Amino acid sequence: MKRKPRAEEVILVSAATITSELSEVSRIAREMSLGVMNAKAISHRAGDAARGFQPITDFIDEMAREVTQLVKRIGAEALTLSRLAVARSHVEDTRSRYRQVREASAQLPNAASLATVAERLQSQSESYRKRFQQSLRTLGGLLDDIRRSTRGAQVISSTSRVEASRATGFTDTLEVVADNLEKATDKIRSRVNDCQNRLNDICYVLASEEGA
Amino acid sequence: MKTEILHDEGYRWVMFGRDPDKPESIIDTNQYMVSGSQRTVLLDPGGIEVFAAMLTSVLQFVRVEQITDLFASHQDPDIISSLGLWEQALPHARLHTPWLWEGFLRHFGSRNIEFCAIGDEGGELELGEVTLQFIPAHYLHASGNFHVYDPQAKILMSGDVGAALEPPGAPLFVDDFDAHTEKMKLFHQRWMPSDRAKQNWIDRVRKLDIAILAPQHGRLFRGDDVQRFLDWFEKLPVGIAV
Repeated sequence: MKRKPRAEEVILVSAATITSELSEVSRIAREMSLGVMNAKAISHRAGDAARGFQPITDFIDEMAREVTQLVKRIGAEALTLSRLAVARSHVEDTRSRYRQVREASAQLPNAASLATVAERLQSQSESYRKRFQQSLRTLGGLLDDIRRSTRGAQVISSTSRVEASRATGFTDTLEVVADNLEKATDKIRSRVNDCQNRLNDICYVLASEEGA
Repeated sequence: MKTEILHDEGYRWVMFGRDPDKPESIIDTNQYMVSGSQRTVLLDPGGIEVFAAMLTSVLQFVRVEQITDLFASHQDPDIISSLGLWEQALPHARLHTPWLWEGFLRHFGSRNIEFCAIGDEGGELELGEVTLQFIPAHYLHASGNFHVYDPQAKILMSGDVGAALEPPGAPLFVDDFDAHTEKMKLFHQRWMPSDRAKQNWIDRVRKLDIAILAPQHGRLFRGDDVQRFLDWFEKLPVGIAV
């Protein structure tokens, strides 16, 4: 029978998965930036016919930059979360081993000398729990920021198509830019949703653990 | 975990081992404690898996804050992977260990403990009633390795030298030396890499007055069996895997 993964395992795997999903988001954002450079060159060549495209490329450029910066911050926070998960796992394992000692040595006169150790471990455990919750909140907030950054992309993509149709001679090329923007933001949103699901997994195991 | 008091005149030597609750798949280990009125040192306090049983046994003799020092003969996990766990109980303890291994031992989850690096030539640890000597045993088997000699109790804690692989529940002392050699032969031939290092150690150890030779695995040697062991080891070729 397959054993149920321990909370620490879920947390460590989830944090690593978030980092990996985000490196893909980062790659997509880089491609968007390159696409924007290409779109700017085309709209420059198209002149007045593609005048309406200029603010659109600026928007895409800004969005790609913002997403890249957010991904960097999320990557760093996911690493913090992984480290906290390891430290928390270490403290909980230590507490469990000291519990065994306290139970086994309850009748020994020297057992009372372990009381301060138990208090210290309890305090460490509380501290890690708080820092862990804080890190989870920060990660959730950063993922929301990415969603917010990409929210306008669908509208922009429709506007791009309208502007592309007006740019006689460059319509097909600019439509490709609009398509790419839509595809890229769909991919980013999908990856971000995967990350959110992983965060939800962590919150679920933590809630189960506290309820147990 | 079994305990055996090896010396009890003014200060105590206690051996801990033969833990019946340890997982079968991990090698059995002997841990030692030397406890004086001012300081107490744990010698090769063991791996993570024996920590709970070891601390419980130690509490039969001392309060946790009486443990002031830890000694790790070398860096193996069965010697000291419990370091991070001990550190929680002993935030002010010092760890005496070969200088070579500090950066490696920190991987066992240790952040705060004070490392007292032992130089290649050896050193001493003053416990009040007795001064223990760190005897160089490099390449036996680790490249930085020490044994602990007590000139008053005449005990040499000899790490992996004298070790034997035995089934659980083996007696604490060697009772038939010739029969025991079979249990030590492969261990010494394979784990000890250097005949030169072996001979150097034997030449120095022959000058010590030893009543008990106390290895980290298997049975302890006492009386004439100590010299028998040195003679046997001297003749044994080691480093045989190549």
